[in-house]
Amino acid sequence: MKKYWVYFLVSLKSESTYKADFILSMAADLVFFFINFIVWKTIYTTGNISSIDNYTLTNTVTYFFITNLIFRLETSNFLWLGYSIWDGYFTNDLVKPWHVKLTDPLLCYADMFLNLLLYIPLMLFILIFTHSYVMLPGFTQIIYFAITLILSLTFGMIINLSFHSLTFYFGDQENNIGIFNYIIAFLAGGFLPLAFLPEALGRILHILPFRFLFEVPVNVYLGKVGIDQLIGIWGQMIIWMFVFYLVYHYLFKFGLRRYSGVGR
Amino acid sequence: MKKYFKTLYVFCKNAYIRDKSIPGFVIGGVIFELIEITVTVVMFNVIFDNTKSLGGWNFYQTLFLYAFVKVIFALNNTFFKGGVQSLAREMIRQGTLDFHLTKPMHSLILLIISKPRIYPLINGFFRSDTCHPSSNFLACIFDYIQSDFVCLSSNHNTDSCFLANQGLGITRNYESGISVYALSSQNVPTLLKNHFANRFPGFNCFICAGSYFYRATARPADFFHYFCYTSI
Repeated sequence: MKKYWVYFLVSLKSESTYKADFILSMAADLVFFFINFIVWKTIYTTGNISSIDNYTLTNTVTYFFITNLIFRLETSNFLWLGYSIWDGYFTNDLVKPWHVKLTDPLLCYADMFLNLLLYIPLMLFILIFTHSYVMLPGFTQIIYFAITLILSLTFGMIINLSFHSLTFYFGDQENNIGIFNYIIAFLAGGFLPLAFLPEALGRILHILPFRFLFEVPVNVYLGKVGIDQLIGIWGQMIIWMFVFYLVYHYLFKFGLRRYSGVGR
Repeated sequence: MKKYFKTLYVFCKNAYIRDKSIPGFVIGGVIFELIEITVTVVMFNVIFDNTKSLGGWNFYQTLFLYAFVKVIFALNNTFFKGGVQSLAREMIRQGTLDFHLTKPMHSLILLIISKPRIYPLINGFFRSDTCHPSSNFLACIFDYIQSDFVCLSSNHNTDSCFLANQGLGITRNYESGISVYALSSQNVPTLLKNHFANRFPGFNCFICAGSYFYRATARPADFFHYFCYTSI
């Protein structure tokens, strides 16, 4: 177990080498939040709207505040399995004295942790300007939210690992992974609350598991999900994680047989 | 000046050959663009379902602005972005900038046009035309020049808009899910038609092809709008 902890720490160190990169990209993220904030504030105030599909202005701004955080921690930014398979660097992971399937998740968690740490000051910066529009939940709600967020990020990571494993079969998947993640972010409510979408589309999206990635954690934060529902939701998330893990497991297992690394 | 255009032509030809050899890359890029357009149309629909105007901008004007900006980005991505990016990322750091400095041309211009891509241009067409009637300016012109028609429908299922600055009234019928255009001003297209048709014999064929291309690209957004907001 110790060797994995060491790998996690080394990953953390290597990822924090270029701090300016992190900080600049996060600052760019702030722009998107403030655009959303201004647009929705204008919509609610000019139209004298008190709520849209049960979302008040405070709910909506908080929704974008939290989705911004989730986008920052989203695993698709931190996974390199597909690229390492494609450029052959994967061979290095194969010959190391640890389980090859654990290297990418560990690196991913290290990245997430670092991003979370660096994002906290920016969240405070957002709160200074929007404190009257952003909901701050109680301690228990934060705990529920943290658990749901960890589950949702892990779920997103497993989905992404499945996509990356396709590189074994079909070669470079960089573009396709980008497309999949964009679609999934939309289907998950990353750009808009699913309740805002047309009813028919919303009904379809509520059947799909992708809502667990964005909409569900935010609704937990907003207190729109009771504790009795929450247990069921966590159960569903674990089941879906297991399903996608099986997909990933078999894609990886059979893909590995097709992989060959040649040196000079 | 001529040598710069010749050089750009050679670079574009190379870019075409390169993109042709990896069609998945081009198709992937275009699909991504179509999805992004669809998502944007949905978002704007959601926003304007709840308000009539946003800071004085209505639905069509906002989409026109969006499409217009994206077309500019697409042109930039097609001709200039690759070169400028490689200057920042590779050339100075790896020392390959010397190659451009030693050529008998202005090194900055050569560098900027050195890495064009084809597919952002395709995306630019989609951008210009898929978003909404207001951004179907080119499609209207193509349609008008091709068949000299002024048409067509005005009923309760019709969305209308007026682009004051363009002098064009554009109408689209969602009842059938297919676009129908009506032009209230004939000045721009008539001038264009007279100007080009007299000079280029193949002009009508070009217009015909352009018209069909634009109609085809307009379909995804039409379909989505029809599916989500008209038929339900």
